[in-house]
Amino acid sequence: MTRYGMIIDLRSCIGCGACIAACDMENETPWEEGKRRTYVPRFTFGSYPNVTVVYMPRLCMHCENPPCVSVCPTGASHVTADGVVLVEHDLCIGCKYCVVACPYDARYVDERIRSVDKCTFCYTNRVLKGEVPACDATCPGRVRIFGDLDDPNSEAGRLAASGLAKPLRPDLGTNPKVLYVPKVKSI
Amino acid sequence: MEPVVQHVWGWLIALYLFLGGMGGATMIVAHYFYASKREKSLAAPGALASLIMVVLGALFLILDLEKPEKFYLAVIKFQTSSWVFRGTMILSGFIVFGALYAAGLLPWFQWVPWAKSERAMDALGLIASAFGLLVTTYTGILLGVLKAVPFWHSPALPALFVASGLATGIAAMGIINALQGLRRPVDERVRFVGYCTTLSKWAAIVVGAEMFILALYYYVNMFGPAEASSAVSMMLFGELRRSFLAYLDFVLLGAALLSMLYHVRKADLIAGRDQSVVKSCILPLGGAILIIIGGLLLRRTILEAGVMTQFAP
Repeated sequence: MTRYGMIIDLRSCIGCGACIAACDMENETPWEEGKRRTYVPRFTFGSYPNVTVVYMPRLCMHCENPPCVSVCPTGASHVTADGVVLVEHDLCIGCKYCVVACPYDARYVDERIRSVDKCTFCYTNRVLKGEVPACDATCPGRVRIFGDLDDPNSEAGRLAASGLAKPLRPDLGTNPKVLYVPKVKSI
Repeated sequence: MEPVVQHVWGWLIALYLFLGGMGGATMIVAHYFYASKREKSLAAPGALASLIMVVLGALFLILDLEKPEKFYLAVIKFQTSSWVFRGTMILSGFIVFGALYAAGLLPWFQWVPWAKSERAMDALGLIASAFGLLVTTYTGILLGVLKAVPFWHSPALPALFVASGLATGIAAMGIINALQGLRRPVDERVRFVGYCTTLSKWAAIVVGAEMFILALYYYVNMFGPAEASSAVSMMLFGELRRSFLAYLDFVLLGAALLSMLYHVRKADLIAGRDQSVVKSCILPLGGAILIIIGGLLLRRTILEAGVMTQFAP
């Protein structure tokens, strides 16, 4: 069974923001209101002259144990057979419980469609057509590597199996399928 | 890192949590007056007020939805893992049994068959009160189960909401009691003064319990995860300090007023002095209103202190 996920190599991210722009264009996000499916916060560590800057792309973690799905009262938030967490906009009543339940701050309310929205890995518009998500396709540094985490022949699968890529806050028990290759040792 | 606070739940949800907590507890206190004293003049308006509060709270919850016209999906989709679904079931049970119970108490509905049977009314009141306790507790569980907000994710939060719900419910019954007392002739008023004394004592005790739970909740969170500790700091020293202090002021002042009246009235009774309208009815109104405003401020402040989980690479 396919288990879609993404590896994010923090060692290569230069914070150019091309992934954000590609996602905004592909998915027509309400970016004018500051609401996006992906964003890249910058973290600075140390003090001059020993300074490290880390850009950390953020998006929905497509958790295997997604709290947003279990709290949804209508089943609008659901997981596909291949492990992608989606929101069915027609079923979403906009109670916003999932927004508060998501520990990764990955969801927002899209007031244009009166529904919660989030990253879909470009599932219906690209992945089902055999393409990779827009952010992955655009990234000039090959920071985002999308693929089947269970496929040992895929780059994503190899990186996931190598143990080099790690989830954010494993203590939360959500089992994210977006894994980070750290730039600094603290991840 | 700057704390990121949840921004999707505001005043409407605070009102919902507050009215749910107060409404559920008001039903319990109203039923006490029916079950132990057969005092329909308090139980009937109490049960009716409790129903109105919970229905109004549910309306605020629906108004907060992005698609209020589709609220029925939360009921018919039967997503049992969601506390919003569980909450709608609890609210529905409360509204159904609360309405049946209130109908048996209210003079306009005395034609309903169960109104004549004290055993049936006792059973209905007990079921409505059990649902009332569930409604009051559920408002705290709704937030307490969320791991994404470490400050809320604590068993102490539902306990705090139950204590605050009970305090506001008792205060609401105190207002109903005072208004009923004011309508009565002087010779009948003594009975309501007695109830007022009981309610004042209860309110002071429950507010004491609320303060104890609050202190434990804050103390544990202060040494808990960074997000929880920053939420406590925001309330004690930061931008939420004013609303948190206002909550404390209102609730403590209200409880102090009621506690003082309780002792004054007890002394009056012992000395055989007259129970004046001011002492028996007007002043308790003030104390009760302060506790109720405090209950609303607590929900709002807790929501505003919802610091989300933070990450750093």
